[in-house]
Amino acid sequence: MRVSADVIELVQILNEGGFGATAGELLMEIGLGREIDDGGDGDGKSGIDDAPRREPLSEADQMTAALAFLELRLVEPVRRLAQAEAIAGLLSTPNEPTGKPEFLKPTGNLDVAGQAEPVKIIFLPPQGRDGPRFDRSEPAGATRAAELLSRVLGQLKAV
Amino acid sequence: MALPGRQARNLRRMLGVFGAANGLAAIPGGSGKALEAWVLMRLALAARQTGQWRVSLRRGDGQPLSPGAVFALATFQAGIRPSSPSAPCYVLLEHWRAAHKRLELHGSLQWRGRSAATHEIDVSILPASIAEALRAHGGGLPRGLPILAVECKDKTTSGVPDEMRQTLARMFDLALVTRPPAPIGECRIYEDVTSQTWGRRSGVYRDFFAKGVFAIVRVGKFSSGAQRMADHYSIQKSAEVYDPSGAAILALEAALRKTLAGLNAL
Repeated sequence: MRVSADVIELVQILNEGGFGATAGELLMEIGLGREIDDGGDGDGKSGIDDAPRREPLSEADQMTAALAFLELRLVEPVRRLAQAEAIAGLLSTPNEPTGKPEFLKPTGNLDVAGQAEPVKIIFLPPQGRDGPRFDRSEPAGATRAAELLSRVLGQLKAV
Repeated sequence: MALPGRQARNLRRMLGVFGAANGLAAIPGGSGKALEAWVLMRLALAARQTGQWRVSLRRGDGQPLSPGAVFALATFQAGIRPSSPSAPCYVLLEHWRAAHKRLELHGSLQWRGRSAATHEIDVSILPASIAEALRAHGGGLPRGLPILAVECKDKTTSGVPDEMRQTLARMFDLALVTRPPAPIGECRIYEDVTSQTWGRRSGVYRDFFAKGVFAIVRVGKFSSGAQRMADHYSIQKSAEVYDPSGAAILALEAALRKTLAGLNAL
């Protein structure tokens, strides 16, 4: 199965932009093809558990799949980290429990923005080892760059 | 067909902006760390919203996080570190009425199994008494089956049976179905620096795994084979965790709340 020219160009752009690991993952993801949804029953005839089967992606479908992949691998993690920072901001003021549950919005997109100053979350290198702190330069709770990237990915989807 | 020139230029520019703002995203494993942080904080908030737990962010020396300070998670923790403001942060859960019910929620904590092998658990909960004993006496690895153990897989592909087998192997090695060596008595969790113990032993693996929360959180789905093992051994499958409905993370939060409510049974 051939990877389409536009996906190859996308891979090159990612690599040149410093996202080499993501570029490689994307190429493999497209090269492996689409997972066949077995409905959770697997191969009911043989009862054998195996890795999910895949079918090749047509060149027409590859770009759509590639953009969806990038949204999940690049944009969503930043959104979730920002939400984690917003929640940390809420938790930075210790609560006094009352014994009564606090209302939780019935969706997963918990909107805690604006309730407290977000707390920056960083990741320390392993103890005793050199290495950078995993950090980001955007303010805690911010997703501006991620939303701009998501918009550009959306524009590519519309092409 | 090549990408339209203007769109390609826009993408290059935005990737540059995105990379400068979010260097974590360009580092292999960075997106996985973001997922871990999010799961940890969602669980902490879920505990608070029961109305029965005081939830606070703590530095590595046990003190409350100072205003304006960063919450530092470990990319890799070799157990609980000796008490230090620069050690990784954690979340402390304190029951509002039962003073003895105190728990700690950690990221990337290493536990030691019965084989003496170590197992890193992306998000785990252990009794504060165990963590504090280790912290005060030079650090160390907790032993036993965590109260909550969540593995975070930021892969978009479906989880295969071997991934579930890895999780089960970890749980089998951690579960104290056999009694630890003396002077440690029967328990669920202990540390071997001051011999603190916590919780009850179970003689049957499935009974042990049914008490507590054991989960795999995935960006992708689970294959059917993986699902069968998970169902049999009470491992929660949190698939497509980024789905806008939030069903997976809400179910995980509910499982934690249920475990917290029934903590005495552990």
